[in-house]
Amino acid sequence: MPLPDRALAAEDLTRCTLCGAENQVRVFPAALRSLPQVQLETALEGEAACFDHPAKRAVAACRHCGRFVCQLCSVEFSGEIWCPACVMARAGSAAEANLETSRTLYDSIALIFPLMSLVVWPLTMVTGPGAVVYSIVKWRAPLSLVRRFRWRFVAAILIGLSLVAGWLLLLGYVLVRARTGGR
Amino acid sequence: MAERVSYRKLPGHRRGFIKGASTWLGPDHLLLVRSMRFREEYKRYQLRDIQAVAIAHRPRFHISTRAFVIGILWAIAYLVLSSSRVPRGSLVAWALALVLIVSWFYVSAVCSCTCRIYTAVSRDELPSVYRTWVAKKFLRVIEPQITAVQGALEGGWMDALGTQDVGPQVALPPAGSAPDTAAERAGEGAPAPSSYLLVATLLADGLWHALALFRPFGWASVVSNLLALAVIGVAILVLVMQHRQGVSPAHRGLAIAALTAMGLVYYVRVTLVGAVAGARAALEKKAIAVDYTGGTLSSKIEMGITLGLGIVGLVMLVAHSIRQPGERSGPS
Repeated sequence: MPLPDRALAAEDLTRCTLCGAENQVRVFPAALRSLPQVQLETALEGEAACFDHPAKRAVAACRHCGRFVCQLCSVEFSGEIWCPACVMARAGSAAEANLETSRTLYDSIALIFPLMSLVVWPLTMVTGPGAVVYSIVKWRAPLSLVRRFRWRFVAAILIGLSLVAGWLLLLGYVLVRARTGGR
Repeated sequence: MAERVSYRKLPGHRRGFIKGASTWLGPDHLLLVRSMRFREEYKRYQLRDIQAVAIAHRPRFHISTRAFVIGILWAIAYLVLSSSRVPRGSLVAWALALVLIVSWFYVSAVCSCTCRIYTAVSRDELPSVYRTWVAKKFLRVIEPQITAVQGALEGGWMDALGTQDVGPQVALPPAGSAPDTAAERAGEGAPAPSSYLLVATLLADGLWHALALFRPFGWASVVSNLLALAVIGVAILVLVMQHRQGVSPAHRGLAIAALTAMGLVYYVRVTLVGAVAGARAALEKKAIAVDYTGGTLSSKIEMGITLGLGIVGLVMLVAHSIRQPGERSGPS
């Protein structure tokens, strides 16, 4: 739904004409720009044609692979023209740009399982060493786009080692008790 | 490499038990991060493409993990004050709880908002910006950044805009027309009959605990357990209805909070009572009887939780009926 009334932008705080809620709106020059219309032109005989659409006239060549692209296929990318395949494959400098839309947070997984298993403590026999191994295996896996440190992996390893130490102590205590006949 | 892009955190952070959100400023774009505990989803808004940022004041009854921590701290303070020799310790704790709840209601009802970001092809809400003071800070930070990329609007821009709409070009529904689907109704926060039932059972459970505390009688715990089962059953019903027909997200959150609270109360009570009884039996070297109802302290905690959740639900229902005065305020 578009903004209900552009008069909203005339004042700092105003009431919406549709729902009655108080609104504060900031409009920027991009609102005045209209979307570019893509007009595909048919390639005449002897003219360069698009790699993916042979019937359409090529307007540029991909910066990475050199394939001809029509206006529909041309992707403007860091001031250069790319073909969709190279952008999808994150080739060349496309790899520099971050186009990821999601990431799995392995460091959070490593940390949460030993902590959650404390609620049902016998599970810590598995989750303790598991957290240590998992953290080491996934140490080099990419973190969140906005996190810089691997402290969750470090915390998971420390908690996992503590749990392992706890179980070893318990095992030692039980063995000593069994050897001394419970005295 | 992807990690080379450095981001600066923008004001606002939604901290939920399962879901969270935050917004970050990159070299030429805003990054909206929606986190689901083990996974993050990203959406980028190029600074050059942002057409408008709109902040609409409206109530937001969100229980963040920070509020949950404050609740835990209050519970610890209550235990310390009620067991120490501080005169009227528990009264002080309950007064503190009242202040905290009233503050949360006030902030949620009066100082809350939604923040939307408009581009030519999208109109998205920024979940991390939901308090008005955060929204003002957010605007203060991003406005110069966008202006630096796009330049400032010149005088007479309203005329230049003409009949062109800001945001994606989607047809508005006819004025006065009702939403077609349950999902749309859920988007507007319309409570379902099961939501009313959940609030009623929560309040009944809380009030029954209060009654049983002040005038204890033999079969109080039987009714209390039945009411607890009713709360759990209705909360599950709300989640099922949400899945099948669509219930407002706030009432779904209330159902999840009720289920979590009932589970925690049951588990913690049994664990603590069992641990204390076990320790006593070991020290005294004799078998002792165990009362798994947990005594008055457990009842007080359960009363506080169920009454608190019931009041939160009641306020949500009242807030909805105030927002839509023409709409029927109860289930048929």
